[in-house]
Amino acid sequence: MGIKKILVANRGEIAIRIMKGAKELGIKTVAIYSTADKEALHIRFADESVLVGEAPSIKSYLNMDKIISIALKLKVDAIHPGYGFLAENPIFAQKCETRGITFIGPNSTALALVGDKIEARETVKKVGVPLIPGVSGGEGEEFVTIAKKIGYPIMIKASMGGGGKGMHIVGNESELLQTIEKSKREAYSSFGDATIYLEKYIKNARHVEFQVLADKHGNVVHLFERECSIQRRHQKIIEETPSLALDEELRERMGEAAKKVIKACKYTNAGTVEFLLDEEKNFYFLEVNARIQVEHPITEMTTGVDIVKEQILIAEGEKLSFRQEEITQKGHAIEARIYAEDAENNFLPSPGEIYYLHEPHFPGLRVDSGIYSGSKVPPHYDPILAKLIAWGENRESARKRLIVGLKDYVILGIKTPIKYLIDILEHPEFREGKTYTNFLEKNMKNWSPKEEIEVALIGAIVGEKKKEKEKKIIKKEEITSSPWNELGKWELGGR
Amino acid sequence: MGVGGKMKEEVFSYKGKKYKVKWEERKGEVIINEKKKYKIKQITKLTDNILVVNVEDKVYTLYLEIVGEEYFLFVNGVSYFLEKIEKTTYTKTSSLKPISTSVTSPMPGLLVKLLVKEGMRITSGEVVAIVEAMKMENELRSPITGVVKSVNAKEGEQVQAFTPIVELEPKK
Repeated sequence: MGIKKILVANRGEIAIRIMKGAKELGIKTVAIYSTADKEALHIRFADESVLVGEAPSIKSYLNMDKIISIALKLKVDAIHPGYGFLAENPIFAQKCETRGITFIGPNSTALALVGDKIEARETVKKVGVPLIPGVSGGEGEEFVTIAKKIGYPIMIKASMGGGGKGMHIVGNESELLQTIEKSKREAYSSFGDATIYLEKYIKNARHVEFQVLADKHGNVVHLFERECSIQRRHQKIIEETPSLALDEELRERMGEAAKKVIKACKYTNAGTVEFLLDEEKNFYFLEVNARIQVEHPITEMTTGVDIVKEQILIAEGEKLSFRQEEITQKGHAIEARIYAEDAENNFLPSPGEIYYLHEPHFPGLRVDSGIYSGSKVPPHYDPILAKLIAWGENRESARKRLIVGLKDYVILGIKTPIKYLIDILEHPEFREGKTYTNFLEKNMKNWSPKEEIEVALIGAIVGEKKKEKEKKIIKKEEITSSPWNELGKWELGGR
Repeated sequence: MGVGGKMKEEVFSYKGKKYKVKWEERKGEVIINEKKKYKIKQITKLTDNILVVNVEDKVYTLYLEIVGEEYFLFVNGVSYFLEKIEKTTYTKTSSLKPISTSVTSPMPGLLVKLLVKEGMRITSGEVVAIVEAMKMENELRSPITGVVKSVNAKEGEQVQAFTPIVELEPKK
């Protein structure tokens, strides 16, 4: 069942990542784009590109029937959904299946099962993998009674959730109902389903997840863990592998539990099993992420496995080409996510135009990016711009390399949290590996960047000079010796 | 614009503060806010957007882009957004941005919740509306204590950036 052409039903860095993977396998790619993305970078990496619809996601990247009709018209063999948008939508997967298009992801039944977090919990419970105490179902005032039974603080989660959308911690009863309402609204707008459930909130926990690959022949392997404890609004921003919290014995046990979950859900393709790890090293199943994940590169950097390629091969019906004992981890990798947001202003989204971009390039660094100098960041979609991933022979070298890389990552025109990310990585508690899910709240709450405004002002007048020089060239004024005029010589082409 | 020897001057604003920058080309001297003096020893232009500047023997790589009166800079991991302002406005001591009496969204988005009605009393910092953009809900708060004068949008509507959603009247 050879795949010759893939439609990538996504945008930004992940669409590009997938297209690169497909290209390496000799597979043609089709990009779709909305009216807001006519000049987006992902189009450049495709062999064909088709306008899918208007800017709002619902009319473009979430427009299932339109995407399928494009796929049929262009005779694509498979659709890769990336992450977000339609990636975990069983209805879409099923539509692909019925129209004879391979959906690069799990089959629609497994997708429906793991996508319903409540149903997934029930399935996992049966195979003896531990769960966080929690309850699903309920209406209005019933939640008050349920929450009291579980005990505060409580975590509200969207049943169809992912990416922190609709997820909120509630400290006491007075905030419960209004926060539930907020969660439901967010859940509805992100997933089209307002169902939520409550879980006990575990303090001083680490978020540890296992990357799993499962082929259609019953073979399941894991590619070790990723620790993603550094989260803001339950959205991961820095991820690393391996986790300092695991020893060989625990890694083995958690990896086996992850495989058990995948088998119990009859899941195929690439997936991630998320766990919370408490201070006593008890782990609890959270959910299965049925997609390629934002943080997949750190696993690729340490195992050498190309997860996107494996996804395509599995979708083609190939058997996994390696067994568990053949997979090893080498060194350490850390990823930092770069969003269009204002770290100094409550992380408000910062759409706009990127006037200038400079990406760091040196050994051990990987840039997964969806932007260029001059590209526009529309307000309609998830604000992720790019990811910077550093590999090192150990954690400390990966950490330092990532800092050096971020200091050389320049995005002018819109706000990004680059300095915030640097400050997290340089924080003594991060350096010591004290990474818990409350890290940012504990250590970065009143953060502001340490500035060198004088240097920036000097830069501004030098820039001023640059503009003036352009006028001067026309006037052909005399050149005297000063730093500015040396600048001028450069502009005149090294006269 | 004179030749070397003459002092030049520009005023920039950054995060609501004003900075007067004076410099003299021939000496390579920069004075900020009439007090701090910096000696610039070398400027090298690597590309249109990258400058290497030696200030007091310390080397800085500056990334910059100028769009009209807006200056975008990046130095050592920190981004700066400066605005050049007219020298005449600088002489006035009034604060740069008058306190707003309206509630606006900093970005375009969907107005998902409107929590006030015309005539309602409101205190500074109170949540007035919730706007969803990039799939996140953002709370818009009242900049002042007062009364709601008018409401210009409805729930479920798209709102533009920096367009008043709610107008307020200050009242103690």
